[in-house]
Amino acid sequence: MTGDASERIIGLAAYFEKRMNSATNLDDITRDVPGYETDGELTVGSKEWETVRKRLQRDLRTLETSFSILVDFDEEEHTYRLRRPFFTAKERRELIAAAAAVEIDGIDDEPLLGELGAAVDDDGQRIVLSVPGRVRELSDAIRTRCPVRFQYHGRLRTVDAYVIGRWRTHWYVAGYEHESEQRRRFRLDRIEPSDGDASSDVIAVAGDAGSYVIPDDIDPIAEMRLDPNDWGHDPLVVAAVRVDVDHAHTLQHELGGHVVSRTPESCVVEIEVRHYASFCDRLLTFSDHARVLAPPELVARMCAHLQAITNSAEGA
Amino acid sequence: MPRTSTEDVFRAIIATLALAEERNGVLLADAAEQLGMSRDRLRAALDPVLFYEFKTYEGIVGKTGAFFLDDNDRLTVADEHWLRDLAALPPSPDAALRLLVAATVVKSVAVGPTPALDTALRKLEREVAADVVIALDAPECLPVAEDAYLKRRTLRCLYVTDGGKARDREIEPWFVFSNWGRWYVHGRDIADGAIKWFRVDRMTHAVIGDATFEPPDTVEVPEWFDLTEHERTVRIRVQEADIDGLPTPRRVENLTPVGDRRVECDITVYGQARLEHLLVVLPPDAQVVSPAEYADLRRAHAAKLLALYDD
Repeated sequence: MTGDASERIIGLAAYFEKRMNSATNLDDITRDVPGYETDGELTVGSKEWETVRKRLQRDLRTLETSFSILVDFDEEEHTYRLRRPFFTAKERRELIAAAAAVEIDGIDDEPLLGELGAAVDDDGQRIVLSVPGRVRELSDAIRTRCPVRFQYHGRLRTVDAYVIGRWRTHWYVAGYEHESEQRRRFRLDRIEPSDGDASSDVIAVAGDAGSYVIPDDIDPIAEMRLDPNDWGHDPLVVAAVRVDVDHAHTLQHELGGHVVSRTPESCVVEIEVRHYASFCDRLLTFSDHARVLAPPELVARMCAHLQAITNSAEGA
Repeated sequence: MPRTSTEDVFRAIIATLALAEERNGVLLADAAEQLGMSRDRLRAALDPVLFYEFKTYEGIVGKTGAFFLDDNDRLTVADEHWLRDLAALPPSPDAALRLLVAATVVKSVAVGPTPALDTALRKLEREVAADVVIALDAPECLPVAEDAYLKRRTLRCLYVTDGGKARDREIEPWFVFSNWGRWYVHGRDIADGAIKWFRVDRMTHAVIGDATFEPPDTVEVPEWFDLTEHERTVRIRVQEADIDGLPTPRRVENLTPVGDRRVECDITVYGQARLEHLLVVLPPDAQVVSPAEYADLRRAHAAKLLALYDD
């Protein structure tokens, strides 16, 4: 019996696939597809008609639940038509290739076999990305426009989330914080269990779906531009940095900028700076291979900082 | 033999055909083991998709040959996975997010156009309906490193170490991978024969070398690097608010309040260069508690850097 049913339903799928662009009615199906045969012509409303119609409906539901294949019924024409697929075959292949290349730690750790990309051979995965479970919760909140509440730096925050993103190795959510009435960014790994109770929901729903609108001026890419040189609030200056030629590439990778002059031993790189403290700290990564040449205020800042350390009496 | 419901049969068909498509073929016994059923039962369940055909008013309907089971009991998708081609429902929310992340990452490092991936991404973005921004580091030398890895040719470059020393290297790139937000090459340094890990963002002037090599059979993305031999720990006294701004990667432990919003804590970094950097980016009012020589190191390193500004 089960073999008959599965053959019948697979046959139905193949039949609709062959008639992809054509409308199909019940007479077509009873005439052509094994398992839907009737004795003689069908009369609408007859007991036999009702039996075969209900069988077809059950089988179409099975096609939907098992294979995600949807067949629409036109009430006026009394015809069935296959709904267009969600992904094309090419798109599906690209997504499978992407799933085969990227290991995602965190969300959907045990996907259902049969879900797209769930059966890939993970031996070939060469990119590993950590995606904390909170990304899933927050993306749901954004999709439903539902405010959330969480503890952050010891205080409870109510946030209308706008964008989630990853910068360097950390995930952030950007949105509007009710308590401060300002747009803020929060690092997801710094969200704390509320009241120290690790078993409680860390991110809680704090309102109804559809409670807010994401402003039109929100640019997701800009919101996740978390390099301090992009979002810093110090007056914009263009720093000139002399760097040993072997380190120029690494410096530009870290701080951006472009080379404006070059000798065999060194380059001068000009870099826009909007966060003086972060810039100086990052430049010090290059030890004695890089120094600020201009503007005077950045040079003075660097010198004052280093002078204060050399003058300190700690450890004595 | 217990009866198998139609749902069970279809679950087996869907999973097995997915394995066949996504792994370019699957042994029936392996698929059966993953599904927790016998090979014979799985084979019986697959009958309708392997051999089923019927004649209609307009011709033959059936997909015999679409999925091919060879003499070695290996199932492959011979042409297109026609059943999946018909799927009209979007992926589940978890699957949509997973695919969105994977596709976004792959697109961010692709060197050429990806039209089918782009259109798939747009569909997934509509399903997830939340802006998820992922920036994956794509260093300049990555395409050359990947090319060398795929062609099994050595990679020549200028490489800057963690300690800031630049040197020409020739490397056998056994494996190129990304983890913890960076790209790495794992392979043999030709100069000393040692097996090492190289950061791609520290490479410049990379070119493919002439020599060829055979990588080991199994190389995997490591779960972690054992850096214990490079650990440097310093105990400091600092304003508690300044800790968050300390350079990463670093480990903060044994945090003890000492009054006036100051704390003492142990900071562990990896390598001498990172230690020296940490010591000079600490605010001037921070103090090195121990070891004493790190206080001297701090002053000495600051003086060395200050000397750059003497002219």
